[in-house]
Amino acid sequence: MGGKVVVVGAGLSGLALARELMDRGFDVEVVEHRDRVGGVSIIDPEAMRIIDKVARDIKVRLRTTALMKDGSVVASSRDRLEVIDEGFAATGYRVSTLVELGIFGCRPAGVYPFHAALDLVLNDLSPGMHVALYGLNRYSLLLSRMLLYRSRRVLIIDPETDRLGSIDGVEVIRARIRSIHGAHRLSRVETSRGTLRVDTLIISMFRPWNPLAKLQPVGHAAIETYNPADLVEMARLYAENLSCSGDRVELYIDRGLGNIRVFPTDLRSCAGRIMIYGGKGRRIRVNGRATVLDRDIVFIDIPKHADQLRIEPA
Amino acid sequence: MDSHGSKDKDAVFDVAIIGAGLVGLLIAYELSRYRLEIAVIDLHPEPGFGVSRAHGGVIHVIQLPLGSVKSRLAIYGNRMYDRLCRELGVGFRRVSAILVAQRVRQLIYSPILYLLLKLYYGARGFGVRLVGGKTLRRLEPNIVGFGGVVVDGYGIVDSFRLIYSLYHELRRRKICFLLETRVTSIRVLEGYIALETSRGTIKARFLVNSAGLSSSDIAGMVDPEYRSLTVPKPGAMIVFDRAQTRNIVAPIHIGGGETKGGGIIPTLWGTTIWGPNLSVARDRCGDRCTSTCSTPRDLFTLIERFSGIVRIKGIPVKLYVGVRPSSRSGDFHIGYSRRSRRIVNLIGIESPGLTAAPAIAKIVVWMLWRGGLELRRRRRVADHELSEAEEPYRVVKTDPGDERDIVCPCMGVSMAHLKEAVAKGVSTLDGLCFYTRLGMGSCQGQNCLGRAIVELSRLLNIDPRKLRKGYGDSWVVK
Repeated sequence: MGGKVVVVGAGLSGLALARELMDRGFDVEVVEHRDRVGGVSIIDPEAMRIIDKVARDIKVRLRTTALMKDGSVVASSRDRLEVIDEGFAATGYRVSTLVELGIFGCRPAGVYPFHAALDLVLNDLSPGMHVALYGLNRYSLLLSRMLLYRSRRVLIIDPETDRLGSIDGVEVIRARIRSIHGAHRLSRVETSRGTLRVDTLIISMFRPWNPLAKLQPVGHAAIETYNPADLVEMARLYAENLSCSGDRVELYIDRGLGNIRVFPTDLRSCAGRIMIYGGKGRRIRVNGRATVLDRDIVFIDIPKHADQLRIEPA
Repeated sequence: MDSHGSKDKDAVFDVAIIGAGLVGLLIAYELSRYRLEIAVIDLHPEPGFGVSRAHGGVIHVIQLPLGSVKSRLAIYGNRMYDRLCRELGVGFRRVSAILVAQRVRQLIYSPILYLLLKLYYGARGFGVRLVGGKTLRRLEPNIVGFGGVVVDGYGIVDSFRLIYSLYHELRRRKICFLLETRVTSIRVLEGYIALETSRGTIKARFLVNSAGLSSSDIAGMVDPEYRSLTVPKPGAMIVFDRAQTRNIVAPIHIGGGETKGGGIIPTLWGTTIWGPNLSVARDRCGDRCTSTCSTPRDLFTLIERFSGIVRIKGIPVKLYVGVRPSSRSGDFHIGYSRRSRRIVNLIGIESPGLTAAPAIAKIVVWMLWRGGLELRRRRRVADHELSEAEEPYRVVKTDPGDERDIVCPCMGVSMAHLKEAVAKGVSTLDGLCFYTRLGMGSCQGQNCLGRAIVELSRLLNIDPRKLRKGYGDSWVVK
């Protein structure tokens, strides 16, 4: 069953989704902008174990970039240009901009978004000698460990962390960066805890972001999580939802629940399972059944073949 | 000297131009029609890295005070842009400027403003209209306001392509570029002018000083009274990754004040710029970067001015600061040196300098002619006449594979664009970003910078560790 589906991005989510769809009989093609699979998971052993398991016999077209062109999504590679009609955006996180982070100052060399710094390291180039990563999370820790071999000093700055001191040889400082300075190359950053002399700043704060508005976002393009298992589960959910034939479920989310989001967005009545995102600590009722959301990402089984899904505060 | 042109030490140029900003390049472009040996000298590694680097890219109409040199030159320059951009193959679009009335006070003032503008600019061929709320909503669905005054004849230009197209064309025409060259002193001698530079003495019969922020210092090397004629005035701009308006939109400004305070400016590639604001020169970060560093105040003033009139679309990607080389008089100073009519000084060429630049270039050529420079027409060099050694200056051809090989997904930059940029004279990462707009979208280069650094180094035939972001020791990777 199933027709052709294009998955944009060969990271953990993209490959996991491709696997699930292929197992359900879809003709799947994964397109990847870079010349390798894995995305940011390339430095994450746990995620790479999953990828190694799922990636076999998946068709991945490397150096093929999906982008918006005249209102539609196209996949562009050296040999051809194709329109993507149906597909998923597994394009990963976007790095927060300096404006969003409230970082002012000059524009010297040496300020990198996380992914660019990772690409440099994988190309055997060092982004700098005294490196600060802004944002403490799974990926910044993994990258800083790689950088330890190539740079003289690596530290992580995070405005909210409680994990101070040193994690695996990487110094962690709790501070908010206010401005960056340097006439040519970055020379210092001003933080809420004083001046730090570094020549490189890698912005490692991420936001879910779907650059291909026509496609349904999956994985980091839709949600923020640092747990690979969540991404795999989300991929399974999407595949299940696409493969079963059923009517669309009418979704009703009570206004009082604020920013709670429900995935998949085009939920079908045969899916039987949903993901609720962004409601940590809330008590809700899903079609009358009370649930406590103990995490930001919660998977809930729902009765199949309901034509309406009501989510209300309990 | 350097790879951009070689000359023996004793050669005397006909004209030396200090400053390879848009004004300097346009002067060289005008002069390159004649049989002259021309040198263009600049402090930066690429043209347009000074004042021309950061601005809104707007071709203006309204400039106060009416009747001032800059106001009149803006009108002349504005009219020259269509042809200039067509000639050089640079993106240019005519838009209108809409001065929006959002408060009752502004609404009451708008008919007066309309009459004033209609009298002055209407008579000079620019359409001026008074519009109500309904028309405003039709023109700009994202703008909130009671109505406003629409002034036609504005323009938005791809100013970096303009710079690099001029640079490319000028190198084809064998203009000598001396980049990363600092002028330290100037002596006016009997037959020529001697420029002492960080790369040795350069001799020229005529000198044009279009050095932007340094122009009064350069002029001061000959006439000490010019020394502190300019005041750097920074202006901050914020860039959004999506289009918000079709035309340039600004709230009606009542009363005095030096700048109109910028506007909401659409770009040719679907992004939006707010600004520039006018921030008074201040101690921004202590060291040499004083002029081009942003502060929270910059963001605050821009938000305060614009967030009320527009429904914000897109992500704020960048906040950047440009510097206006304002003169103390507030107007352009275009004149001969007091010592010699072989030197033309351009001081205080701030906004609307971009608009006025083509007109300034014409005037400077005329002034040089009046000062004694003989102008004899030259034949254009066709592509097939270029020798093997000039191969890089040929019109760039690309192959379809490169065009489909996308390096930067959010701005649609391909390998073909990278190759074109290098052929046009890009030699730094900043240059590449300016020329191709690589990394200027919502993801700020996260998906392209890594590859771009490797590919650019390969195209330039240098080690990536030797690649620089821009001026000075701005190394990119180690």
